[in-house]
Amino acid sequence: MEEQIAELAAQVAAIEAKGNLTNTMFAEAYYYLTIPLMIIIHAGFLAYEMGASRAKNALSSGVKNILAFAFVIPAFYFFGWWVYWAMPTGFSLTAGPNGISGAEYAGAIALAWGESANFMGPNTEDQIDGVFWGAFTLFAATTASIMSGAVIERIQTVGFVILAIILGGFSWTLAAAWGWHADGWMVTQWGVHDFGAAGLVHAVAAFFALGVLINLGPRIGKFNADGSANHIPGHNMPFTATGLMLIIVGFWGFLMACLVVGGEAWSWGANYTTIYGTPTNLGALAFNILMSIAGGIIGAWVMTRDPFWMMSGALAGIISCASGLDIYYPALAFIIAFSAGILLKPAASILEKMGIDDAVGAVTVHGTMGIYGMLLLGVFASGYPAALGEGAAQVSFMGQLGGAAVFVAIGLSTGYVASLILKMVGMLRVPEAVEIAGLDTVKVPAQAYPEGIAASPPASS
Amino acid sequence: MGFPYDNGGTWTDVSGPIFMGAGTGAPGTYAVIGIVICIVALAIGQVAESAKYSKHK
Repeated sequence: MEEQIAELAAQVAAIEAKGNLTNTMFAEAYYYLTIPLMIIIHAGFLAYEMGASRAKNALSSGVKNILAFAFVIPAFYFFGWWVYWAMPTGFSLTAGPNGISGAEYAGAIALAWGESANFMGPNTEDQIDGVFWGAFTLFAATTASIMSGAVIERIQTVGFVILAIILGGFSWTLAAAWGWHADGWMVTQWGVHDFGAAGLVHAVAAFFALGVLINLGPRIGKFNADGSANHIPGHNMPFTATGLMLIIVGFWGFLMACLVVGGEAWSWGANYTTIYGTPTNLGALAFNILMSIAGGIIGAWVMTRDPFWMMSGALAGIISCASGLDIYYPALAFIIAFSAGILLKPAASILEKMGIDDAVGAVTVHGTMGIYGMLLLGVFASGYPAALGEGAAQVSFMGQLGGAAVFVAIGLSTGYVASLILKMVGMLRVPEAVEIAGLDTVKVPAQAYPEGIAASPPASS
Repeated sequence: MGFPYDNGGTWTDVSGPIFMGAGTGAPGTYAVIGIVICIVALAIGQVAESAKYSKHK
């Protein structure tokens, strides 16, 4: 009898070990697959920005986008990852209530040298840090791409790359440490809930871009002497619309990576949770992302009939619901996204009337709609616990308002100051003659359309 | 650089960091070189970009 019990216990232990291994491998594969999905976002931004540029600047816009992707990756490896783990409690660099933050903790797991290097390279005992870092790196690269579209056709390449490194390596990371990390002071004290990063990725990147745009100035010919604006059409609307659709595809990976897979030592529980440890699952995302895409497109179609704004409406729909994709009822997500689609073009027009030349509407789509979404969550989810555990702060309108204000301040201040410095040293804007001639012919050793492109019939009025 | 485990040169029972230079100061050296490469690449890019602009003033 005892032998049989011992044999059964051994079999149970073996099954349990295999189950744990399967779970670990699933978690690793889950985050790994979010990475190529998020790279689709960058394929989308690449197509979108090149299409939104005039033919004379198409390749230059592409080069800028490719370089942002390339430089943000090592920047996030060398210091961005450390910022995320070191600064949740603020600039004091002390540990938070969960004990997974502060300079000491970050120094132990997120630096590329010393003992910490063991977590920053191949390690048979660590199947999560690499894929987790990879997913966060793609979040970082996404912020740079959001900024990238706003500044096309007149920004210098290296100046832009420096801005991308600051945004992707520091600005958004600081916002994520404060408003996303479980020890983040905005989460623990204000009850900020921003599941899908409407504020801490989209708004931070968009307001960073606004800070840059203030110093960069509009493209030549954008505004008339009386302040009225001219539309500067891109050279390839189909390319732009396709790029926007690719961004939307990629955002499935982005939002998938916002979940924490259950059943691991670092997980919050046995099932999927948000990064705050609160319950949700992939079903919630499937319901709400699809409904928000639909709402955004329909809202923008009602207002504009323009495929550019319709696809931007899809993005605006997702972003306006991103803070609460984990808990919205799908029909409510549809309504919110529809309202975002309705508001999109008028909001962009207001920005234009202020003399800001945002070439692709990035500030409106990602910034205005990100903040709009954060605030609406404060209305509809008021009273929800913002994080896991007894005594967790509750979601409230004032908490979301405060969080949104901090995100705007982080993005706007760092973008403005960094671009002002670049402007002072002559690294921000291309010379006027270069802008008129076209950036491709001046600095890109390739030709976008050697055989030319035929013009299509005029647009419908 | 060498195999980071002093176990007779076998993968059997290896558990932990397996990258080249594990347990030494090499990762830090590589990191510094990587950072320098980024900075130098940007500097070279800026020089080339400025030269292009100076021809089109």
